[in-house]
Amino acid sequence: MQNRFPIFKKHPALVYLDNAATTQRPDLVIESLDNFNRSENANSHRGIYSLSNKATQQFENSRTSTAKFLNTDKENIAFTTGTTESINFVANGFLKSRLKDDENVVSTILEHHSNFVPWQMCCQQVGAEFRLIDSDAQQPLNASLVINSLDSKTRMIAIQHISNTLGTVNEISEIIEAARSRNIPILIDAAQSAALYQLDVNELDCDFLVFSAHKAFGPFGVGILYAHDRVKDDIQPTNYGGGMVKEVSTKETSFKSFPYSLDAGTSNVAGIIGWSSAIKFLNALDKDSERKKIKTLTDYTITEFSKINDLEVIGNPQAGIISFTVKDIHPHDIATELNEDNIAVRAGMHCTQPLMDRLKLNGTTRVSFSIYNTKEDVDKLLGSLQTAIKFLR
Amino acid sequence: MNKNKFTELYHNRIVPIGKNPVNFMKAESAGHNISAINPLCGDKFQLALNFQNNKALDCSFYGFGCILSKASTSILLKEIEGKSVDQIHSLCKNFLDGLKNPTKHEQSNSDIDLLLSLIPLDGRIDCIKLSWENLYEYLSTTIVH
Repeated sequence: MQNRFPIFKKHPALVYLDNAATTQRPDLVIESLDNFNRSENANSHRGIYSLSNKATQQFENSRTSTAKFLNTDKENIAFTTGTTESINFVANGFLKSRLKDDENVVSTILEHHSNFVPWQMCCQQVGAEFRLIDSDAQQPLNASLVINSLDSKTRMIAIQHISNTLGTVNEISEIIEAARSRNIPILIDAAQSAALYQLDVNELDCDFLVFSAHKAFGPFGVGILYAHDRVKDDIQPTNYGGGMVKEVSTKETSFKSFPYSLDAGTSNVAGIIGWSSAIKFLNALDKDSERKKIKTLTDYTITEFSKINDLEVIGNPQAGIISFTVKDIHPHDIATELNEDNIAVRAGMHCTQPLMDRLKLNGTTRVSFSIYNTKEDVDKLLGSLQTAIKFLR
Repeated sequence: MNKNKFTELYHNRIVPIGKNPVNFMKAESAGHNISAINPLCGDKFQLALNFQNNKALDCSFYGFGCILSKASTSILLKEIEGKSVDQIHSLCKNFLDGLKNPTKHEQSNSDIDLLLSLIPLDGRIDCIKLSWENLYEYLSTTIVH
């Protein structure tokens, strides 16, 4: 698989274990970006000339591909700059105007800051309650805790599918079902699952689902916001500009409908077209088999980690993301030592400070796998890690 | 940073300082308590400064941090001992300027030069500047006007 990813030709010794932060890009995505920039560059949806028309067609084809990828219609797919912007559009454009001070938003202690702070701010600005479901990190999120916390004043639920820190896979279907039966809008943060999990929004029946292209082999700067028919026309624009208007006069402005209502200013045309090549790549993968391979690597790593003194794996990782601590050694110091052996890992809070506080941790070292990682990668990690621990003691 | 430089500067010089930092202890009481926190990596130091006749003495720090941030804070505390508030303020400013623009920094002190030589260390500049930046901000806002 590594031969599909040019970065490993340039850096043959690289052991890339920071896939929860961003995945590497396969050849066809890089070629698509390069081809657009070299041979097809023009602004989409604007020009009355062939290049612009072609850019528009490819842009809209990417929207159609994304819709098929999620089993929905293109009218339900907006392109944003990433997961964070997608969530902010929902928090500020959908929720804020309907949230009252005696109501609440339900989320969890596990969330990435991008699925935490927008709701927290929204609640603070309105005076509403930001209701957080606790987790001890040992198991996936307890769905019944979430469901039992819902009441007649709950106006929104925002839950991640897979924890970017713990690698646990949350039971979102049960929570979505409970939300639907109570008519509470629910957003699923699929940043860590979009690449290798089948996300059928029709079957899931969530109201919103968001993720970033760059964590699913696509380019940086492209985000996806899926909105169900029942909510999509209730997302008001929060950014204003050129592309999203229907009519502008000196007295008032009217806007296009979703998803075009969110396209204020020029989009990342090359990136969105490049993302459609990532979808082709993803569609050609046997996702079940890739997930099994990653689970095998995860289990092997955890087994080997258990043999290292003073190393503690945080929680019960399932999905190729393993956070760990080593007694009296700072995660940054471990990451620096591993870097000297060309092993790329993440160290710190992983944008989950409330979770770290809850677990009384000052940070962790995190390894996260993807389809190109091998047992040899893990063996190099284990060797380097043991040398690092010995040196840093 | 190449392997030889990494070994020479980081492994051989910084790591020993970081493992045994100067005045790393919890202060019972201090004239000035300064928090140095990096929420991204979890580093949390409490710097305790005392002044007598406008000279810093018995300065210490305590908390959680990586080897590099500990070493950098240790070097900072050693440097400020006996200096006036204004001198410390200038020292921090010059150091932080040096981190931003190392070519303009006048080489004057081996430990400070050592820290500046670690700028190429991947992703660790925040570890180097954490305590310097927080002390500079504290002095700028509370003492030096």
